[in-house]
Order: sequence, then structure tokens, then C-alpha cells
Amino acid sequence: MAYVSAFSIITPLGFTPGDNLRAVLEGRTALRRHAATDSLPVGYTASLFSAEQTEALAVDGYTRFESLAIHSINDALRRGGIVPDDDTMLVLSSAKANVETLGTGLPCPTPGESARRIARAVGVTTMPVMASNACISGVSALVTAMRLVDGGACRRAIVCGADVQSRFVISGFHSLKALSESECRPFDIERLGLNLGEGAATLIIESGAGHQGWHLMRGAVRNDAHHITNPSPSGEGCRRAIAAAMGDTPPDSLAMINTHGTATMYNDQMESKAISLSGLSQVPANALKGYLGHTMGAAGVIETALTMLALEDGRIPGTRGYAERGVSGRVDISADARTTGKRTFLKVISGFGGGNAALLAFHGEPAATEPPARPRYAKVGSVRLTPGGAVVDGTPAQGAEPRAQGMQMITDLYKSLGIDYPRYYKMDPMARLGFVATGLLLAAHPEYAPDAILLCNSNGSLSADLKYLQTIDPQTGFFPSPAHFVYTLPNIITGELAIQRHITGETAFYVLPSKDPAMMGALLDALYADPAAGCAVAGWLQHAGDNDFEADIAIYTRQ
Amino acid sequence: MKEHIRTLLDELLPYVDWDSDFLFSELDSLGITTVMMTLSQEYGVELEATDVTPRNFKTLDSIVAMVQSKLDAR
Repeated sequence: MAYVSAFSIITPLGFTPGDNLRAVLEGRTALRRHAATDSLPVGYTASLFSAEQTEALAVDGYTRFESLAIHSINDALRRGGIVPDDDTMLVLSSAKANVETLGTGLPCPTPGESARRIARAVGVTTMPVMASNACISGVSALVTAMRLVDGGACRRAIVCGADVQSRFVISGFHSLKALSESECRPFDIERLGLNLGEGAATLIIESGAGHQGWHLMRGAVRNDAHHITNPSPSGEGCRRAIAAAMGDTPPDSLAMINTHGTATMYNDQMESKAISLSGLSQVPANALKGYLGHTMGAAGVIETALTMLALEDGRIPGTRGYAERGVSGRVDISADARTTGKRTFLKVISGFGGGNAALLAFHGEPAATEPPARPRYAKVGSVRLTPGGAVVDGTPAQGAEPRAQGMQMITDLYKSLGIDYPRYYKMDPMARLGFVATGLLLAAHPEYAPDAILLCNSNGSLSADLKYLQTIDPQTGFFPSPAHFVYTLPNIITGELAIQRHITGETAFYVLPSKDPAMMGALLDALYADPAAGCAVAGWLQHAGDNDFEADIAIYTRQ
Repeated sequence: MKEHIRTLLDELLPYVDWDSDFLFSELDSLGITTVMMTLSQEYGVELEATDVTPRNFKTLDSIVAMVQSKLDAR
């Protein structure tokens, strides 16, 4: 069972795990009010690094995001006395990586390039991967890394979640009306929305028996298949993620649940229902956003690390901002820190794209278990779409006679599929590409109904990022478009497919430095380590321009 | 006033249970916007984003109280 050998936490509250834990237990927050400026004409409350902190974190030749990740990883390596070897993998987690420098003239490596640069800077020689699953990225990265280690793909995985804030991200969340002007109030009856935050954390996890300490027992990702931004009001996707992570663990063995608790109207309501439906209403729960804000791709890793630290001290941190229950589900939230003698907890997280993830961790020495058998699955169909044409199962697409090239060809193919899905015309080009590729694939193989999705690329959501950037251009006006902003999260295509095909299993989007079949195979193995994965749509989906794109996707079934 | 608001909103959002103890859990963001715009126009009050709290949208009585407090403040 994968154990945690070292970790680090770097946030505006402090640069060490101890500093962060002390601040949280003392009820201090890094949230501050920031006034509107010419380039970002909206005021907001957020947890941001100060100018002095940013300077202290800067690494010459690297972006602010990369510097933060490098500091976090190096700090964890130093604390664990670990030197990466050729059996060490790097699993990054970020929602928006370097987007703050996009279009500014400053260096802006793509997420895939950035993953490679960070790996080299910290001495990792293997192919790195970056989970890009919006808010659930951190937990999905931990779950994937745990499966890679447990499955023998590597002996050690360095999991680092990091995100920095920018006018790009803040204006986007503002356009979605998701931000609270004041400090956020998770689960409270007066909550008004979330605050954004910056930070990073690293967990180093390793394989090996007989280790005392924190172990990652089980984790799961499940999709709502409901809406690309709103969580399902039923809480069903989150409940299923919790059920899969809990297994047969008795609820009374849990010390606590660390919730996502963003303080938006809908997230907290949904989580309360999921926790209640899971029979976990009596388990103490908390949310940490009132101290650190929502650190996006870093949140799952930072909050897991902080919870581990707190429970080692026998403490359950309180929920800053909470005073009166404002959710219909029964959840045992407290504003104040509590004590516990238990050492098992559940981390829960949900996000855009319909994703929900849950992870069960415990402190102690686990009973010896057999390593899991390598999952067996087979490719049963494939599709490849490029500006030059469409090929299904190795032959040109049947029934489709595109008259045009490039993205117009994709829309022609969409029409030829006869799918009545008006949302197609609202999608960004990458989502359209994935939608049509999957449509062609499943039209050729109607006998398969996928229950999981795994997509990879190297540039994240570059085309959508550039499109959204135009809507916040100070030269031409400031009209941030929520419709464009949502597609700046690459995993939205997995949410679109989940809704259209009612795919309720794991959905995942990863960024790699390049199209690497070995790494994509390892990620597919990790997906199939989930016993619920039966039929998966998986492959490469990249859009760099209307005449520069590739969808290379296949359908797999468990054997 | 409560019955008038109920009739008004029920016409626009017929699938909502206006007797719910957690009304906001029945409304999506479009539903919330519909309530805000309808009541703003009907009563000539300004309902803003900061009014969209679970407290103000907990029950139909909460919505009525929110509108009444805006009318009282004029």
C-alpha cells in the first residue's frame, strides 16, 4: 500500500507545513481584500502571495507557477532526504499553470512544456504528467499516483499541486458570479461564494510494506453527468465517489471528512447531501477555504497534507467563516478546532466538468496485502481526426464526405453523425473535436457504452485560453465571457461527453510534454485499477489551431 | 404578498416546490436569476448578487422577507 514519505506546503500563510498548520489552528487567514485596478476592474478577496513572498519564491529562468512548484517539490525532497531516481515519477496538478503570462510577451510555456521544465529542475528524469481536471485535479493526481505506485509503474511518485492567480482566472470566476466579495463562509447560511487562493503542496508517496505513517488506502473519481459547471443537486456523483473510496470502512473509524467546501451556494449544498446520503452525517467535517481560499489545482494536495498534519496532532481544524448551517444535508461542521484520537480521514472534492473525487487515508501500519494484478483490457476500436481527414478503425470514415478541411470538416462530420446536440455549437474547438471523434468511434461501435474517459494532450486548453483572453483585453474592452472561460479548463470536454453519453465513472484529463504512448498506457492502467472501469474512451486530444489538431482516441474494454 | 409572489413565481418556475424548507436546493442559477429579476420588476426594488444567500432563499417566507426589507429601506 502506498505510503507518504514526505510532504511540503507553501501558501501565503507560511512556507513550511508547521507554519501552515499553526496558522490554521490559530484561526488566521491569508484572505485579503484587493481593490480594482485598470487592468482588472473588479475588486475581490483572495489569498495571494505578497511581493516579498513572491520574490523569495522566484527561481531564475522559471515562471511564477514553475518556481512555486519547484520550491514545493524541493522542500519535500529535502524533508524526506530523497533524491529522485529513474524509478521516480512526477505527477503535477494544476488548473491553469502559466496562464497569467499568456499574451503578455513574457515566457508562457504550455502546461506540457512546463511539466518537463519542472521535472528537469528537480532532477526527475522520467516523463512527467500533469492532472488538469479543474478543481478536483489535486485529488485525482493523488489517486492516479497511488495507483501508479501500487500497480508497480514506479516505486515512488512525487505529487505536486500548484496554482497561482491572475486577472485571467479572477475575471473568469467573476464572470461566472462565483466569487464572494467578502471572506468566504463554507456551509454557512450567509455564504456568498468562493475566494481564490495561491499555493502549492507536495506529497511524496512510495511503495513498500511495514511502513508506519500515512497511507493512501483507496480513491475514486466519478462524474455527475449533469452539467459542465453546476454540481448535480442530487449529490449522487459525489456520493458514489465517497462509496468507492470508503469501501467497507466503518464510518465510525473516520476521524473526519475534509470537504471541498468552496462556500458557493451549490457546491456546499451538494456536498452536504452526498455526505448525508453516505451515512456520514455524524463524522466531524471541515472546510479550509476560509484560511487559504480556493487554490484550484493545488487544493486537493494542500488540504490533504494539512489534514494529515493536523490529525498527527490529534486536531480537527475548524471551519473559518462558518456560524450557522445553511445546507439541507446533515453535516457535522464546527467553526472551532476539535480533538480526536482517530487517524483515518476522507478527503472529498468536486469541480467543473462534473468531476467528484474522494480519497481515504490512514495513519499506522497496514496489514500486508498482495499487490493488485495488472488490469487486463483490450482496444476494440479507434478513430483519428486530423486536418487531413478522418480515419475510423484504420479506414476513412464511412458515411462522412467532408467537403472542407480543418475545423469546418469537423462540423461537417458532426452533421453527418445525425446527433441532435445543439450545445455542440457552443463548444470550443477542442471540445468539438473530442465530441465528433467520440461520436464517430461510438457510431462505428454501437455495442459499447463507455463508463470512463481518459484524455491527454500537451497544450491544455490553449485555443480556448486565447479566445477568452480577447474578452479581457484592456485595449479593446473588458467583457469577460463566462461561456468562453469554462472551456479554459481542458477537462470540460470530459464533462460534455459524460453528459451526452451518461458516463458516470472516472473522467480524467492529463497534460504530458508530448504524445507518449508508454505514459498514456500507464495512465490507462491506473484508470483500470478502478474496479468500476469497464469500457473506456481514451486517447490524445489536442487543438493548436484550426489547421493544427489531432484526435487519436480509442475504445477499450476490460477483459 | 406571499401568495402573490407564489403565484407569480409558480407561473414561471412550475416545477419548484415553493413549500420546501431548502428552496435554494430546488433552484439552479437560472431559477435564482428568474426570481431576482421577476421580484425586482414587480416591486420596484433592487435585488443584488449579495442578496443571493441561502438565508434569503431558504423558504418562500425568506424571499418575502427579503423583498419586504428592501421595500422598508426605500
